[in-house]
Amino acid sequence: MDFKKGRPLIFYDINNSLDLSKDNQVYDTCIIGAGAAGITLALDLEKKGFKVALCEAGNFEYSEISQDSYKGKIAADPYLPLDTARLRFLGGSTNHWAGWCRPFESIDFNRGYMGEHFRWPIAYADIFAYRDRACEILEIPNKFEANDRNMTKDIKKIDFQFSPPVRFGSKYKNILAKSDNIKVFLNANLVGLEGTKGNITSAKFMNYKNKSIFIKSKKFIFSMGGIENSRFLLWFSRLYGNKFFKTSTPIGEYWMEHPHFTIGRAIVNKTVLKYPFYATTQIAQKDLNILGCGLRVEPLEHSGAKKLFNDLMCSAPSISRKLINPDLVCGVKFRSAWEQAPEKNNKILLSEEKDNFDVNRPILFWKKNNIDRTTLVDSINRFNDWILMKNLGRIKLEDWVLNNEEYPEKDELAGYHHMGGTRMHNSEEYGVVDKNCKVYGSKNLYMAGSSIFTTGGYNNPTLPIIQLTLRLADHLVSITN
Amino acid sequence: MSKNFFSSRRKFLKTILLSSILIGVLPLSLSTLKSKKIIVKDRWILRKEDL
Repeated sequence: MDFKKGRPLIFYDINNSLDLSKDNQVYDTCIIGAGAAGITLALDLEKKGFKVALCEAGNFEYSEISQDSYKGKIAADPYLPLDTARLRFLGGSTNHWAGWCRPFESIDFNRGYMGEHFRWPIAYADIFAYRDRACEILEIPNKFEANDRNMTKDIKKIDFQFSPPVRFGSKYKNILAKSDNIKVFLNANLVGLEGTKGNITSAKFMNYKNKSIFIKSKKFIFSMGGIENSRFLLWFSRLYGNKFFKTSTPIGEYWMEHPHFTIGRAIVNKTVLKYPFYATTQIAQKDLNILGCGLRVEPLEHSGAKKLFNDLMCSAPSISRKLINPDLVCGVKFRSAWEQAPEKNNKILLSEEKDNFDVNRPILFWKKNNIDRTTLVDSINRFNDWILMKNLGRIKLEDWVLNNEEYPEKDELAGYHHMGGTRMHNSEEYGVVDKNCKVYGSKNLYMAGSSIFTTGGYNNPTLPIIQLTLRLADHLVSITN
Repeated sequence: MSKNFFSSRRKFLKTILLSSILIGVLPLSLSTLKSKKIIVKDRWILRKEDL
């Protein structure tokens, strides 16, 4: 009971509610996955009077039994274990995100010059319209471009906004439970679909005690995350063929991450450290035919900085002496997180191994390509040009960067940003969902979350996820009205 | 431009490359070396006058 408000908090834990099989209600929308996208969508549709079933495979807290379904295999480049890169309980991966927020940039929606597969079916303005509301949800000010400043034609300093970070599960738990229009089903693991050609009428969920329930709805939204959305479409393709959606689209393909690596160390002036975040400008990206790249400097501790300075003294005594002045700060670690090109071969596949619900576990095939490398190297060169031009310090690059060697295996590797796989595109050749997030070949199945991203930009995905989810909510309302 | 120009430029770049390797200073790339006089020593990206 929520005694303060004098009203019970209602969740439908299907592990313990055996009479739920008698629930004959037909919901307006059944949202599967209660993370950032699922909860945002449920709350927004509720305001418009929709009856919503919000289905979460986990419970309120982390549990090994739920998390187990997130295990999978890694192929190609080294990557983080799939069951640690995301969380499977109310609030999803917002339960461990760090709160970094920055939006897509206009160039992200104007990259058709790099190939048809880079082309979003919507314009920058379509997503920009939702930024105010998305920032409110994430509890950040909507201030980004105004804080950016060009240091040269090619390099700009940028700012992130930091969410507290909002944990969607704990923040919205009570609101969801008190809602008259939202029913939250916990421990509800999606295992099947029912319906007629192109039209899903009910989804089957199983609890952890081998009991199942069916939830009927007019529309279904998968918001299970950047790996699971693909995994379940692939699995349902195996189970039902073309019955509910087209299987000829690139389901699971064009999967993207943001590679994260330490690229060197540097002795820099205070001016550089004043703004720790930099990026290549849109002009540079176009001129060099590269993608977006973020560069960061992080202060080293005193001993590390001293060692680095001694190192520079040995290698270049002349400049070392010149750099000693009141504005010299210290050594910094030089890091990068950048955009990866959408590549058909980077994809989610199904393994033959199955989880406890008989659903095939995923295999992630992820490899960085030539454009990814060129983006990094050209961006470093342009940043270095600025440092040298203004005599702001000197950079010492890692061997693998200088010699074009393999990426190191022991590094941050990536940002836990799972994008693509059920991407948005006007063509079924390059996309799984249309501009309104509806799966090709389906009348009532939609995707929400970063799996719909056509390209990934170089920034953290949560803010755009919320923007695109609010847009989806508006669309669902508009077609219902 | 005459063939001699390219020939002499190649010789010049070859000489720079070889002498750089001999004294332990590797060029980042020929184009940047030519245009910006940048060198790499012990993985530091430097100007020639830094040494």
